[in-house]
Amino acid sequence: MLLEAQGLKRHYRVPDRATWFGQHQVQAVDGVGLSLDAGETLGLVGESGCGKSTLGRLLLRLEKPDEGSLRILGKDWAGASEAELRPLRGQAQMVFQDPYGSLNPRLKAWDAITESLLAQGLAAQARREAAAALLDKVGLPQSSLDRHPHAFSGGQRQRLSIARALASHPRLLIADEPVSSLDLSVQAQILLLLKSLQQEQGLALLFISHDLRVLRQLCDRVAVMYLGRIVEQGPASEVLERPCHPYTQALLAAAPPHPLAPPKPAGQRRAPHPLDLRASAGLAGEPPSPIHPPSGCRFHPRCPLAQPRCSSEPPLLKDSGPLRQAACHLIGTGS
Amino acid sequence: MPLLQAEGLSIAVPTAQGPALAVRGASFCLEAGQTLGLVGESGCGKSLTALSLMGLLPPGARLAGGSIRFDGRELAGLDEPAWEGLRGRELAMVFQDPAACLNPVMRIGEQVAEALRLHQGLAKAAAWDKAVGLLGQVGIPEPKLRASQYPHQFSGGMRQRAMIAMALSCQPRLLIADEPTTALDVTVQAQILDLLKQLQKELGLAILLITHDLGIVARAADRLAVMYAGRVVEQGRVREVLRAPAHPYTQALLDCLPGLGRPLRALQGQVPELWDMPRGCAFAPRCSRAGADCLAQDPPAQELALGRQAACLHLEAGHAA
Repeated sequence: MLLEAQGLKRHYRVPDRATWFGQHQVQAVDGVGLSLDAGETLGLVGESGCGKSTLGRLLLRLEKPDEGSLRILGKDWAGASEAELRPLRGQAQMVFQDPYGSLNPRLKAWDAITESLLAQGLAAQARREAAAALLDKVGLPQSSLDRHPHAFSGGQRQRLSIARALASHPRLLIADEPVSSLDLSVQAQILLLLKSLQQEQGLALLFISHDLRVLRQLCDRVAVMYLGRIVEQGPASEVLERPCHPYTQALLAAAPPHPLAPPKPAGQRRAPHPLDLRASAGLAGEPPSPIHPPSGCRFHPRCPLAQPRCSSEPPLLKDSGPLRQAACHLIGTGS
Repeated sequence: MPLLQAEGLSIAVPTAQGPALAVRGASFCLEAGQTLGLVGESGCGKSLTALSLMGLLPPGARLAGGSIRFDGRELAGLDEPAWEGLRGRELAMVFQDPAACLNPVMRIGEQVAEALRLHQGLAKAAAWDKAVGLLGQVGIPEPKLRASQYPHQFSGGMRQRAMIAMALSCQPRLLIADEPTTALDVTVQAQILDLLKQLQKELGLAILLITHDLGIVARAADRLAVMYAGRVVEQGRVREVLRAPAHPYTQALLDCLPGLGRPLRALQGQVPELWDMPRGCAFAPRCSRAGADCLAQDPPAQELALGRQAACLHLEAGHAA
């Protein structure tokens, strides 16, 4: 495994506005384990505030986990200091959501995308040549070398961000909502680019998104997060076609239908999963705050199938099928 | 007769290169009780079109031509007092970002009541009671308590519900919803779309739903108008347009949609700049079906069937002109 994380935790302290002096803990990431292989794409999905971006930042050690282990390329980085992290920085890179905020407006394109190579002591001429090769790779014309970010469109800027991430020849790439601010036609261009670069270079790609359609298109495996914990993971086609966890089912039920999805002919329709909620009405309520997460299973106040034990006992992530795991008391009980 | 009929709508906006047309002769219509989805990528002019229907064009932008008929009345060229009489009463709008549209230092109930006092002349107490009722109607639990809270105490979905309550307070006949669910999570998004649909049924509202998401249109709209570079390039019943698009741009948008397990086909190139519109069809430089004739002439919309139009010289297979 190229990346293996276990029991990652990150809690933040925020001031309690009701008392002016107290503090709350936000359990942004609360005991998450993940693994990712070279050449594999793992999708991380969840509603806003579920901790998916924090998890992405933890995996790159942009933030320090409070607890847990983080093995990347055979070494544990969980407790490493900034200086010790330097070798990891070239190996693991990130593409951010906002292509406007993540590029320095004062740097020309070639300078911006090869800034990381300064750390390797490359001279300006060598960096320019590297930039030319990178622009080629992400499908931007060579005339872009000396332009500033403001001269590029959103999609082109996202291409620059990808070029910058690839400059240090990383093995692991984490993309946090890289296409959610882009128009449909541009989004497709960037998805195709990411996929082809990944195949070419055998990158391990963690793709963070709230868009189930994008995940289904791009990912080999998906992990579904709810309030700081992973509630279900497994092969993308399986999890997104036959979800086990009531939350995944609700998420799929709420997503707008694919406008072209053909109605399945009656003969080919798979038997519905015993817990399948998709026929029922959508999910009521909104995700609770991660400041005071519900006891037991964090989904139980919104779960239509909740039972008494769900409010007291947190369910563990356990096998729910070949290569699949889910954290729900109702799975495997046959009910 | 349709409730709303826009004909040849053109909107000029200032650009660095001088004034340019951001909307270039858009035509569409909307019946009472129906939802029209207006779809297009950013910069195609869909939001400007919506604002022009409310008489709310931003400073500098102006209506450069065309007519907007609402219930038989011409809206183009109305003066501000006349618009004020229509807004809120006949036409209402819900915006993308409810956090930015609510006054942060005013109780939610007061904000809803304000419209009622202004437009219906209700007394303070009566307006407040009606506001509480409206908040309940849009599915806000404990409306009495919630009405006396401030926007920061509301979640994104609840704020959007409050905005909808405000928009519907004076029983308008047309509701314009500009990306009403884009800022919300999918589970909340589904709730808001269901709410709009239910209110439409109860009140017989016409809804103009502006979105970039074809999935939302498929779920929530009856008819669909696709905009590209300031023109409506195709319109018709949602199901018909999505199942068998006539315009190559509509087809290309559908090819870009992820999630069906088929390979994506990206649309290459970019939308032309406003000040640099091609002489012919604006989509021709990116179009796989374009011929020499497309570069010479901007194709007019042709009627393919009743209520179905497309503006293209080389329609997709299966559509005879």
